[in-house]
Amino acid sequence: MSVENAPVVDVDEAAIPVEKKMYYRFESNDKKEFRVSELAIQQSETLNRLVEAMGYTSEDVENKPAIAIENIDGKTLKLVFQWCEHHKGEAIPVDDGSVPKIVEIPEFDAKLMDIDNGLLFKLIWAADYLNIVQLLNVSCKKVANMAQGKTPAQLRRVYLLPSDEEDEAAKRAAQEAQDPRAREVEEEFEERKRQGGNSFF
Amino acid sequence: MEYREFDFWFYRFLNGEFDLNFERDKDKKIYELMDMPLDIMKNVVEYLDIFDRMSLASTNRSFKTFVEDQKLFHPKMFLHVSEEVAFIEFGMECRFILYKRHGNCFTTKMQQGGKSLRGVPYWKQAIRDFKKVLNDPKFHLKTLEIEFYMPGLMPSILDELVDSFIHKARVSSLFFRAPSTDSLLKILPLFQPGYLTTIELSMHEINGSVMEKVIEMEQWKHAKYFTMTNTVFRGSLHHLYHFKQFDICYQQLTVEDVRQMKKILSKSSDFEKCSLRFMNSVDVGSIEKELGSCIEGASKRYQKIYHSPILNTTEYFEIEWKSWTREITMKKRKL
Repeated sequence: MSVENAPVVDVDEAAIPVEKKMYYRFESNDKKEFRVSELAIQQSETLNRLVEAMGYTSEDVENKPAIAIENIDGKTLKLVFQWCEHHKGEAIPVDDGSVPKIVEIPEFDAKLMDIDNGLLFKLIWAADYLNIVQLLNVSCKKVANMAQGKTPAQLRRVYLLPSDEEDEAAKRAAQEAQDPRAREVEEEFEERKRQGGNSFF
Repeated sequence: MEYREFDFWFYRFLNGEFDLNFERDKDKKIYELMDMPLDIMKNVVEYLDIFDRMSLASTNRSFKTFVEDQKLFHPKMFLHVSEEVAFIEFGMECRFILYKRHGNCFTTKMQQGGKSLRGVPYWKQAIRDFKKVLNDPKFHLKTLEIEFYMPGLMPSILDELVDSFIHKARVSSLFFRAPSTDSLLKILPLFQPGYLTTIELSMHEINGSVMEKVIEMEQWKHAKYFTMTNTVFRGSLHHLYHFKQFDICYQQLTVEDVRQMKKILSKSSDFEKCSLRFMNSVDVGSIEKELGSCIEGASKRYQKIYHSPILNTTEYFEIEWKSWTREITMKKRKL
């Protein structure tokens, strides 16, 4: 199944088997609506608890407003639900940190995550917020794979990491923005040192 | 072109959007790894091997502190010290450090180059570098191989290794090759008991009094797998019965040994398999009577298979007895 064709937004009602399945409605912060199967929702601990607590019937799902997910946009949420539908029914991994985590990125996930870094980071954030353990694992693995075999200089470019000098400059700038007198005090201190004084006071 | 710029246009083209006049929103928030919550950064770092972590730690001080604070699982390390040369291998292709003596100085060679150093013997520098990695409390190692072939310098090597070794190393399997067992008294205490599950020793000389001390160590008592090659195990077989599996060479097997082994190992919930080879000839006829029922179809003249049921259980011992080569292998099986 291709990523584009994953059954997230458009659900063919006729294709639903005789056994009645429940499809919940969710709305992103940019007002895009998604229908997601009950089994797919189980991949997200946050959403699963939410729908359990709401105790909706099939009629409620249709008649009440869609459940709002206020801090995730439609583009990201579409990827999240595509992933959940594709992996519905799969066991959720448990990690107690005692053994090395071995995560392989399946072909479907690799295609799903063939996106720019900005969207990938939003996807990671969404997986973390919605507590989708395996989606978080594969997306973090993808970010980690970007670091493989890279030098520190290359890593700074890939992950947009500041060097120590840039980091300190940013801190100084932030400090100065808070206290404009700080720079003046520092300059005065440097000047006194140049004149031979050891103590500022 | 900056990487972020390249990344932006690459994915636009990949998605079939070829409009070169597209006005990019420069003020749009660009997500950086450091914007991520700590648990996500931890998840990312978890997938990086020791060398990628070292590169990441070198990017800036904040990352160094963060990366060094994360648990690291590494598959394999190998330390070899012998005359003229020492090396540390990291179980990954082309990842090693080689230390070689050249007169009064020594050289190091690694993937990215090497250097010449004076003042410290080559073996001492190798041990110091090895300790730096192994003594990191966050470092977890699956397999460690240590090979020392410098009999004259063994005391100095061991003193250097033990000196300021603060944390018990988390190593799961230890393969230790040295001229004699004496070094075990200093080597084994370096490892965390319980985490160390496998001990494999290859030595030419075994000192009975050293082994008496070794079997009292927590590392020995908590280990699950034991193998000793190249020499005869000195000590009672009783000291091996807590292992899940053991493989040794023994002086001589008696009928009483077989009775005791069956009695004690039948009660062990952990025991899976043991193999023993004997130096001296054994009373084949009397021992065979103790082994159980011979499975005729599966047996040959000098290689017989016996089944011996364990009372009140659904388990039995499958015993392979090679009288010609004086070997016995016992496995616990379920009916």
